Amino acid sequence: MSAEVILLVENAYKTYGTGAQEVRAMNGVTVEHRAGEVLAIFGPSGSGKTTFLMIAGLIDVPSSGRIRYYGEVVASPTTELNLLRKFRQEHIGFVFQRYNLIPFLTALENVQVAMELCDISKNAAMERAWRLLNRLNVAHRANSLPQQLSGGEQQRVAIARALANQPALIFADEPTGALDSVHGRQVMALFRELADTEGVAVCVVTHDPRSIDLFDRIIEMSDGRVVQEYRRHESYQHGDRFDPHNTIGPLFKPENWHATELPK
Amino acid sequence: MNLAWKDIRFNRVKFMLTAVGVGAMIAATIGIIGLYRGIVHEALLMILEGGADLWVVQGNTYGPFSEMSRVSGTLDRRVEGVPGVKNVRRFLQYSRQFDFNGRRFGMSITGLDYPQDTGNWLPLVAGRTLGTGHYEAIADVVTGLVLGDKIRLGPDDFTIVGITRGQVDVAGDGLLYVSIADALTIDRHAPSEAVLLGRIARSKPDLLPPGRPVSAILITTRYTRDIASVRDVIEKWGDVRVFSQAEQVEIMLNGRLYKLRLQILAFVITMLAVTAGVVSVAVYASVLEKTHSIAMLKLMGAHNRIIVRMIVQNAILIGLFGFAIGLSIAQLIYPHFPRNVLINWDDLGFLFITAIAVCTFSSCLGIAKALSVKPQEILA
Repeated sequence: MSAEVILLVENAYKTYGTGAQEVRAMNGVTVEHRAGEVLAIFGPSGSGKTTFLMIAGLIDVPSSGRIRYYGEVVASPTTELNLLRKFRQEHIGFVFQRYNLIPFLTALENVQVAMELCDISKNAAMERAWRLLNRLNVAHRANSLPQQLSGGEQQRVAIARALANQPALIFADEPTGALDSVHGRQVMALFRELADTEGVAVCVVTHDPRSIDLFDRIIEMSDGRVVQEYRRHESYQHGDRFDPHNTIGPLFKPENWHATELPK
Repeated sequence: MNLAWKDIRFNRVKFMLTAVGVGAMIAATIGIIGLYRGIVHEALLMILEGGADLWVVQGNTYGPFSEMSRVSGTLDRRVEGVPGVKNVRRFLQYSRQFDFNGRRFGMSITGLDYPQDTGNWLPLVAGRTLGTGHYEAIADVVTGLVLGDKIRLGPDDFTIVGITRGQVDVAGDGLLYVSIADALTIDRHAPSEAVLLGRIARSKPDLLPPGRPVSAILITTRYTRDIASVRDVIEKWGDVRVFSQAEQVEIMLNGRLYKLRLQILAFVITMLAVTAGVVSVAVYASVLEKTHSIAMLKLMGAHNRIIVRMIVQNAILIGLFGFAIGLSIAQLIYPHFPRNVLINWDDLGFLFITAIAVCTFSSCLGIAKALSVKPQEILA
């Protein structure tokens, strides 16, 4: 794959607590993520997926190792979290399982506020928010509060919000976890479309293998390590469905993927 | 985008309930301050509107507004001779209970030194001033008496010829103005047995009561510059004491009303503390509810100042709405209170600033909580 590397997590460790209480949540993880790529992070609970998302998404800093964006080191163990705020705001979007829309703002305002926090004028923010909601087919619910929206609509608004500041990278934490299979598939298809049409890099942390055909790469994590990495075969088309049995899920068929040699 | 306003729009019922709670406390505070102002206003009426430059009272006392004061009823003749004195009036005031039309009520009988003083300085709302030295009275509207009523005071019947408004004593009883001669008669009126005992006493000179004393003598000087010299002369007599109008006001406020002031102050502080507590709890609870939203805002890059602004604005809006509600309640109910609740703009201004300051301060706990929220919590 020749697209520009947006994110490079370099030999990152994350340790919580000290002494007997010490927990190593991330254990020497190295991952790169390119523009236009949909990357899935699979793994059981406690495998370090969320810690990876926090470190790679610049919500927290690693205990050891470095995080590079566009080749520049932006986070290391000594980086002040406050300094990451602006970078995160301008380059990264987040989508969550529970949507995390601000309950007292309408759908439109939820998208708009992300831009206003970035000092974009109110009118420009509103105009772009309308465009995004329109694109995600939820413009007709623009003036509804989150509690008045269905799960699928809320997730679309959350994606619109994640796209508000035209990020290069979107992190999605179990984005289909609260949705039925139809809406879950729609959300994953939307990520695929964003990656293909706008070159956005999408990193999906998930348990859900139902949309596995939409990913370009899969990383399997366990005990804070990357235990396996798969890249899709050129012949494997989005939309193909399989039914094998493996650790990732019943839809994962190894012959469509090739395992990558992991660095020692 | 004003996040505080959006939050209030969403939680409008909770916000209004909090504002109503704060408003009720502000209304109570306005009421208690107004009540104090009313009492002070009424207490100072006689001192400020009586028009006297100097008050001559019984020696070794602080005068009738502080304690019992009795000076000779003929002292006015002595004072008239002092150079610089323009006008002298006797002053007598005491409280009595009366029965009228089957109703018992208290009044403060106040003597007007007719004919020098007919009560022409009184704020009449109906009728006229005293036209004769006997059996006429001017009553305040709170007594419930109306023009033409005839009321028995002491041994005589009095006709109400004038009605005032706002003329009440410290206890809230209406003032009833009669001539000083009548006031003395009413004061001396006693049952037959007492008259008999009095006669026995008069047969023993040592037990003689003082002849027709009054509470004080009121002096108006010819010129303001005469006040000091008149005072010097009278104070040298030894048997009396002289106070200026300003001193009488000071004696009233820091003597008789001192404890009341302390009580009012304590009450106001308590109410403001309770208000601070209510707003603190409301704001803190609101922040706890919004922990996730705050974490999300921080994740999206919101500065702490944006979060702090949202919380402080919320608290200030509680204060603003609370104050408006409190003021509305006050305007609605205090005019119907049995006592004069005097609401003045200075007090309202002070209370407004204090309420907003208290609400702002009360948001500190919520702010501390909000600042401790980390963007990571969105993933918790």
